Amino acid sequence: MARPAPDDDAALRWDDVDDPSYLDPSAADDEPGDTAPEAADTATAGDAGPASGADAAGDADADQAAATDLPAPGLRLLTAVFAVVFVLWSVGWIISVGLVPISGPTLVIEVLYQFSEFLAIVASALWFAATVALTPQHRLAPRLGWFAFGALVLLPWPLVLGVIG
Amino acid sequence: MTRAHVGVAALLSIVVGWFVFDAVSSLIEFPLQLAAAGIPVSSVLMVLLWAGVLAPVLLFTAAVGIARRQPLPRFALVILVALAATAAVRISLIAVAAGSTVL
Repeated sequence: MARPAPDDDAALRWDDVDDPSYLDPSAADDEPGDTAPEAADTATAGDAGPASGADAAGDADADQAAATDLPAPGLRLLTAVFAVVFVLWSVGWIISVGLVPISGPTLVIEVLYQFSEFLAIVASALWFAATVALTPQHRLAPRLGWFAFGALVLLPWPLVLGVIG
Repeated sequence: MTRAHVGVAALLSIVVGWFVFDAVSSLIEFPLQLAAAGIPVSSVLMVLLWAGVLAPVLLFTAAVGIARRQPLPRFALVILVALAATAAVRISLIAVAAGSTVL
């Protein structure tokens, strides 16, 4: 740090260069850190019109995106109701595979039959998971449609016919 | 669709092929067994047997068509759902066909 020229009034001021808190007044104007906020303020003030317009547009987009991320009213209730339905369907299929004794003539076919029975039992859970994963949460109709279609396709007919018969 | 999509679809189509093979076997053998036992083959039964042949193909094709633009995990999930639904429909058709035969 450059030492200023001797000054007879130096003792009357709080600007001792040996003080660690001393700030060189001549170097203060050259500090980039001091000028940057001013430049930023100037830029902000100068671009007030267009910048505020762009910010408003960005805020609008953000609001719209946030709005589309919100779940549709009743979606959680619908999902919960069909979760119960598909759990019941799974239980129905566990009973149904016992009502329809299918056995293959060979070991390979028997294993394939057992595998298809396992697939039938997990079908409801897979359908529910796929519907929740693939349908948008801000629209009620697609999720309702796929849930209803799945409930119809995966109805455990062996159990239904057994109960009816 | 990427090569991975095609690979997953090809791998799981083997299971679909087995479902079709089993349904075609039932379509050929079951009416013959009923005829040998002196039981008339109803048109309802034939519709059910044909539905068993067509259902795996239709469900698999629909699943590929619906999920072809999805990422690979979701694509595989949809194909698995189609296979599981095929298995459930197959057992349902067997149960209904057995009921229609009894009736």
